[in-house]
Amino acid sequence: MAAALALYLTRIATSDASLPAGALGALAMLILVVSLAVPVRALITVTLALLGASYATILVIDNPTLDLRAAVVGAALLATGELAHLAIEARSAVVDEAGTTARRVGSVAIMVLAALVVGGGLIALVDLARTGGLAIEALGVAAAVGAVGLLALATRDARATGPGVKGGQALGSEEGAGPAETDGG
Amino acid sequence: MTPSASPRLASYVGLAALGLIAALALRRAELVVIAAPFALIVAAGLLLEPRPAIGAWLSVDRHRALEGDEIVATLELNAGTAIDLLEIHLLIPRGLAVSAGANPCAIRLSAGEEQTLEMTLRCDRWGTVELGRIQLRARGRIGMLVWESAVRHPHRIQIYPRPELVRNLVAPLQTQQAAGDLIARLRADGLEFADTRDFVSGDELRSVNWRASARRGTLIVNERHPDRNADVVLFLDSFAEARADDDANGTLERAVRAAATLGAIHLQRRDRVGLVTFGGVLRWLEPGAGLVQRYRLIDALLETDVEFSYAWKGLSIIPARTLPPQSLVIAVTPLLDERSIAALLDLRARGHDVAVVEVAPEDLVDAGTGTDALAYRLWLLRRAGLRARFERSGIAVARWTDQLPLDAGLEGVRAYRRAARLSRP
Repeated sequence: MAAALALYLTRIATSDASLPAGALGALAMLILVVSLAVPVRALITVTLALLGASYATILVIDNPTLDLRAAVVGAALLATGELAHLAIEARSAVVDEAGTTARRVGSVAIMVLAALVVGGGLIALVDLARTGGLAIEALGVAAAVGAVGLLALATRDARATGPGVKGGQALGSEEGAGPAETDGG
Repeated sequence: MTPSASPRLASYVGLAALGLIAALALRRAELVVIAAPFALIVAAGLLLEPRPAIGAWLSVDRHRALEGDEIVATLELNAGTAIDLLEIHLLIPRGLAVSAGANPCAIRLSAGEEQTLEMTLRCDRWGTVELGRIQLRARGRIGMLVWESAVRHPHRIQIYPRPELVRNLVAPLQTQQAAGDLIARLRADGLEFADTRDFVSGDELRSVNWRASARRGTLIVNERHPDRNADVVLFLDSFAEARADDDANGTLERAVRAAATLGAIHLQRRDRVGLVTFGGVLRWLEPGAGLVQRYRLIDALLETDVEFSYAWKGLSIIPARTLPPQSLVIAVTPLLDERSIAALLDLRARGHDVAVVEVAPEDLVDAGTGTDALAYRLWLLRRAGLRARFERSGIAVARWTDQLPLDAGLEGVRAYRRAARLSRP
């Protein structure tokens, strides 16, 4: 996974950025191999940081307006980290019951998918904020409608529980707010 | 259960912080997108996963076993919350080993689920062991926090030494007054024919040997040996032991097995048996007979261990009642410590009937090559000299190697004592 990500980053980089990105990716690979062989978990963090640095190098040198591939890179980094930790845990002396590794790989897949969705959402938001215009206005209106809707919902809930405000008394407002609300109801 | 951060937590927090700082420094929103999954996973792991609740109980099928026996330990688990991964480690004390079942192991438990794990433990070494410390480590599906706890359900298990093969015991030179299975040297009422003599006034009529009387023309009576018991003191040397690397069959293990076997057989023969564990810590058991004494003896033997001490110890520290007069002292020793060697020679000098079963340590020592081999040969010569010194003092020494049954070792003592008796004027 780490090798694929390093290769992917080298491929998406322009000729100026490919050398430093490739070098950082190769170093990350080397450190990951060492971290899995020894094994040292702290080196996994270094590996992920180096892969992230490789991507940051591309962003700095190539300076794209907004790289939509960031969500994929983020999800791939998470997958690399999770699988590396899983590989080290699988080598422990603890005998797992059947299917444990498959279940954990499934959990990693769900996390990666969630990361992809969150990353995509963030990219979309950033893109919206960057481009502005009608889309941002529409988003603002939607947010306002949503807020009003939430308020209405809260008010309806309060009315629905009106006679039961005695319960609120029981919860204890010592300032006498309870009886006042009861009278008002 | 006590929470602690998993290695992933610190890693992911660091990566998220690094990504966000880099995003600010480089003014690139993409780096926020990269850091966000790590931050979200950490947040979800800390906020969404409940504190696990789990109960664990350990039971064993028996609390007494012989070396080589197997004990079944049953671990019952009851989960109050769902646990994605529960690692269970039953701490196995020295003397026990897992022969079937996984330890440590990991399982998954749903909320309210009860699960039973069985583990078969092999008793490798005699002793009293305490089984029951269980370490639990639980983690949720995301696994940012690890919850650990230690459960203690102690079970005291007594592992008795396995008996060695012994058919014939060392016969003591002197017997005591109580009835037993030994034929005494003296002549009195008994079953075993000893000799004939002339009838004297007071002899019972049933002891008259009518055939001999008819032949001699005068009344002749039979004399008999009475059946008596003996006092036997087992002298266990625990000053030092020899042990090969990772070997559970050192000289102390074998010595305790031999002492337990000899003690049990002497007690079956209605002898009174006592014990002196002579080592860094002195333990003793006054001679006694019967089943209770057998359990006392085994319990005392199970406590035996080599405990380091610089203190010089002699016979003076052993209570006098532990070494009754005319008792047979059977020393089980690797003959490695000067203090026990001196004590044995002192015992003989004080008139005790002493026999030594030497638990041979030579096989456990690597002879090496060159200078080491020469040193090994010198050591063997010194040990042979020591044995000769014992024999000159009237102490029979039997070498008992790991390859031989104890009976074969004791035969050396019996042979020496037969020869010594013959050569006695």
